[in-house]
Amino acid sequence: MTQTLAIFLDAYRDLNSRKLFWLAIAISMLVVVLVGSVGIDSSGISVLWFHVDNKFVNTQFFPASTFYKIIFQNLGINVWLTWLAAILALISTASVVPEMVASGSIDMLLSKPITRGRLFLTRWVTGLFFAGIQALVFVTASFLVIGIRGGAWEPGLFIAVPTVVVFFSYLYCFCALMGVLTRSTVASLLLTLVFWLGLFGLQEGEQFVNRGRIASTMECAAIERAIETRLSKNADADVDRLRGELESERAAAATWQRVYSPLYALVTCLPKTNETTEWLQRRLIASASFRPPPDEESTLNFFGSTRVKRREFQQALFDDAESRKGVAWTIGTSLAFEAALLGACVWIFRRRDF
Amino acid sequence: MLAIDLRDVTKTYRGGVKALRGVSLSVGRGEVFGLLGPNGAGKSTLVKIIMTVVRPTTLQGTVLGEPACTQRVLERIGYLPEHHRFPAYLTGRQVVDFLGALAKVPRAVRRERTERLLELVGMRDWGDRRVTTYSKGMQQRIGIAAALVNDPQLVVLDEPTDGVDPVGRREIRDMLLRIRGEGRTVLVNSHLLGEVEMVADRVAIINQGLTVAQGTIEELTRDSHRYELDAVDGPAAVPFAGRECAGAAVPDRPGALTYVLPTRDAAEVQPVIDLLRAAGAVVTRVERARETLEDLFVRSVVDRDGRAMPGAAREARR
Repeated sequence: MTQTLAIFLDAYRDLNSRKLFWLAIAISMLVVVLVGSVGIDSSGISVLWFHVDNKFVNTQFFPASTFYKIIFQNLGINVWLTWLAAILALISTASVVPEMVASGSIDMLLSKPITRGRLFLTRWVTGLFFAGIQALVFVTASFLVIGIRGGAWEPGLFIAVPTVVVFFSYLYCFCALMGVLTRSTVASLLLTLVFWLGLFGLQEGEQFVNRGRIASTMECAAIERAIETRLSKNADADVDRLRGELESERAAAATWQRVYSPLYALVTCLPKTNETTEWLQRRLIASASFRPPPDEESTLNFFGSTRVKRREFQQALFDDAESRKGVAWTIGTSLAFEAALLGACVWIFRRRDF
Repeated sequence: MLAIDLRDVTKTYRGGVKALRGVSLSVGRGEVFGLLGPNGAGKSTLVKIIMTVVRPTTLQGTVLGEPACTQRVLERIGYLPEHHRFPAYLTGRQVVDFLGALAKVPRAVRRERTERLLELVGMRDWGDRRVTTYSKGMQQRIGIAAALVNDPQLVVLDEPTDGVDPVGRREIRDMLLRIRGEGRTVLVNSHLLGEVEMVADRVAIINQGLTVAQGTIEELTRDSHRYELDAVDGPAAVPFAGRECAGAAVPDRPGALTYVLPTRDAAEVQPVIDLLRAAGAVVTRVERARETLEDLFVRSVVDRDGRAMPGAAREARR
C-alpha cells in the first residue's frame, strides 16, 4: 500500500507540474462559465446582458433545464470531454510510460521491491488521473450550472465521469503499449491518434451501414403495411408496383445486412469510443431526461426511404442500440480488448532488459 | 557469510551479444568492494542483474543469503544507478521520500531518515529545491541519500563520483567509509581506479564478460613487490638473484639509471648497493615499490599479444 500511495502521490505531483493540466482545467471552467452566462426565458435567450428573441429557443418551446442539458450533452460530452480534453489528456500523459522506461529512471524503479507487473499497472492507472480529474471538474461545474440556472438537480450527470475515464482508458492502453514498444513519447502519441482515427472511421462506417440496414428493414415493413392497407380496402387493388418495390427493398436490406455483419463483428472486437459516448448519451436520456424536444414528422429520405418517418427511425435506432449495444457489448468488449492490450504490455515489460 | 556470492553468471542479449560469459563474484559482509573493468566488460550488466533490472541467462548464488535476483532481497539493498534520472518535478527531499516509499519504508521512519540522510550528504539546505536546479555533484549526493533511505545492508553504487569535483569526491569517499563503518557492505562500480584503491577492501576486475582477478589489492599485487634503485654513472646492468638486471635511463637526468630488483627483502638489495658503490656509482634513490591498482588493471585487461583490449587503454588513462 505504501508503494501504491507513493506512485499515486508522484503522479499527482507530476500532473501538478504540467501546465497543460491546469490549462485544460481552466478551459473546462471557462466553457462551463460561458454556458452558465447564457440564459433562456419565454421569449428567447440572453448572453450576459444581451437578449436575443427567438421563437424556437425559449422556455415555451422547452424548459430551461432541457436547454442546459442539451448544451452539456452536445458541447460538454460530445465535443469537449470526448474529443478536445481527451486529446489534451493524451498529449499530457503519453510521456508517462516512455519516461518510466527511460534509462536512468527505470533502473531506480526496478531495483525496488515491487513486481514489474504491479509497477507498470499502477503507473498506467495514474495516467488516467488526468482524464478523471478533468471530467470530475467539468461535470461538477455543469451539475451546478444545470441546477442553479436550469432548476434541475441531476446527480445522474455524474455517470459521465467514470464513462469518460473508461473512454480515455481505451486509447491510453494502446498509448501505453506503443510507449513500451517504442519508448518514444512522440511515436506513442501519434500512433495512438492514428489508432483513434481508425477506430472512429470504422465505427462511423458501422453506424452508417447500420442506419441503412434499419432504414431498409423499416422501409420493407412500411411497404408491407401499405400493401396490406390497400388490399384490406379493396381485395382486387393493384399492388404489383408496391410488390416490386418490396422485392427491390428486400434485396437492398439483404445487401445492407451482408455488409453489416462483418463490420459489426470487427467493431465488437475493438474498443468502441463512439459507441461509449453514445451509450453515455442514452444513459443521460434515461436518467436525466436528456431527450431533445419532439420534432420532425418529416420522412427520412435515407437511401431512397420515403415511407419511414424520421422520428420513428430515430426511435428504432435508439431501440436497436438499447437492445444490441448495451453496456456489456459497448463497454464490456472494449474493456476486454483493453485487458488484452495491458496484458501484452505487462508481458513485454516483465521480460525486457533495461 | 558473504553478502554477494555469485557463480557462473552469464548474460546473452538479444542478437547474440554475450555480455557475461561466466562471472563469479564473492563480496564479504561489511567490506567496500570495487568492481573494475574496461568499457563493455560487463560490469554494468552484472550490477543490473544484481538489482533485477536485467534478467540473467544463467545464474547461481545468493545475495544477502537469499536467492539472487529476487524481489524480497531488494528491500535490503540500496542502489545508485549510473546516469540516474530523477523526476524533474520533485525536490531532493521528495526524491528521497519517494524512493524510500517504493522500498516499503513506513512514512514516519522515512521522514526521520530523509532528514538525517540529507544532513549526511550535505544537502539539507537544498532539499526543498527541485532536482533540475542541482549540479551533477548535488544529484549524486541526493542519489546516495536515496540509496540509503531503506537502511540497506548492501549498497550498490554505480559510478558514485561521476561528474563530482575533487572536493566532492573526497566527501563521497569519506561517506563510503562511514557507510562501511556502520556495518554495511558497499559494492562500487567505478572507472576511477585511484578512488577505488583508496576505499576498496577488495576488488574484482572483469574483462570481456569474465572475472580475471579478484581479491584484496595486496593479494593481487603480491608478486609485484620490488625495490627501485637510481644511480648515476652505474653499470648498464647489475647481477641479482642469478640474473642480470638492466638499468633504465632516468628521464631528464643524464647518466642516471634505474635498476628494478624483484624482491620485498631489503637485505637482498644491500649487495647491489655495495656493488654500485664499488663501481664508482652514486646511489641517489632506494625505494620499495609495488604495482598500483592501475598497473594491475592494465595488466589484467591486456591480451596475450600485449595489446590492450578495446576500451581498456582509455579506461586505464582515467
